[in-house]
Amino acid sequence: MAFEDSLDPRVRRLNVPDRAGEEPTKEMEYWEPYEVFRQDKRGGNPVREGTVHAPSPQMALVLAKEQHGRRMKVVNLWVARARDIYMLNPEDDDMFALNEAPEKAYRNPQGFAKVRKKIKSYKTQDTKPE
Amino acid sequence: MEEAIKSLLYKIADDELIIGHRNAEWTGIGPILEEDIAFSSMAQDKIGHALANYQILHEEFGEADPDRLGFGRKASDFRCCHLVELPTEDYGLATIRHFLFDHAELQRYKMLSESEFDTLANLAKKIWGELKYHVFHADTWVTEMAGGSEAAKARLQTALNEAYPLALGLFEPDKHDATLRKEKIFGGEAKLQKQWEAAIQPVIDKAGLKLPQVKDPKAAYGGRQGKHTEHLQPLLNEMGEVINTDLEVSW
Repeated sequence: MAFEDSLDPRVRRLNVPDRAGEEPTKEMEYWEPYEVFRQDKRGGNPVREGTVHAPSPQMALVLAKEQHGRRMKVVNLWVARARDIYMLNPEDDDMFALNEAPEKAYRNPQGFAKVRKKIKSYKTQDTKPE
Repeated sequence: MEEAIKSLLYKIADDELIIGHRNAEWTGIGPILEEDIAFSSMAQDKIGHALANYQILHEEFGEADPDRLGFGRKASDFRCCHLVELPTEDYGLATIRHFLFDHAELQRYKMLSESEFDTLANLAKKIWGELKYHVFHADTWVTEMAGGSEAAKARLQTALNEAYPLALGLFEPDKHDATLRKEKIFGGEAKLQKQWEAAIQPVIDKAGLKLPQVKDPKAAYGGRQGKHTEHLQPLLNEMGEVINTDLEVSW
């Protein structure tokens, strides 16, 4: 077959000898998932972009650059081991008051928006409270 | 002078075109998905660098168009070095070659960024970020692989022993070096080699590898004069397989 003469590794790999007998990978030698965050301007908030697998933070950055920094504007990437990121149980989202108690909407900072304007409009009212 | 610049452009472009194609052979079979994407993307960058140099040859020196230069010449017209021609079946060897080549490429463009030939100086500045990433990628892989098991380190050392003597062919002295130096276009191959050695040594040390002793540094010379290994012509045949069915067709 003509393929057998090829120097292309895609073809040659068909003949790679089997790896039986080699030392098996030990625990913790596996690559780990890293979460990748993208900054689109200096000082901007990093936004989670996706994950990569890597054996070290430096390799995570190397791989994240091509994986997550190729298609849009990026000035920097942050990476963190997925297992170093902690979160609450998603089932506990009822701990957050605004999800469950609409009457506490006053806690929503939106309520404090444009306060200066409101004060000014109050002060210039013709009828001031007693 | 024109001949000197053309000779410089050809060897840069041919090196980049051939290593780009060789590295692209790993597309789809890289060791892991993310690395497959990174290595393929850098291979594409290399072909882009080759194109940029062929374009200068075409637009400023009246050479044939880039497609013709890339796919329409025979091996003896190419000026690439033997290192880039080598087929790689081992990812360690592919990585070491990438490491040795890309450090040389970075240093070459660093010198060219100060060239009196503005077109090349501008190109060097334009692709600088890509070159920096390629070297960062290579350094990371070399140190990671060498920091793995003893078996991994031994394989990497074997790869280095094979690739390093070939890499010396990158710096084959060029009869145009003196002219290029005098005209402040390029500082010459000997200076480049010194800068390259200084750049790779700390990474080699950090990885715990050793550069092999090379008995005859000239053994890998010849590429810059059109004398190539047996591996180049079959690669060129494959690269040109489609375009050479009809050279006049419009794509």
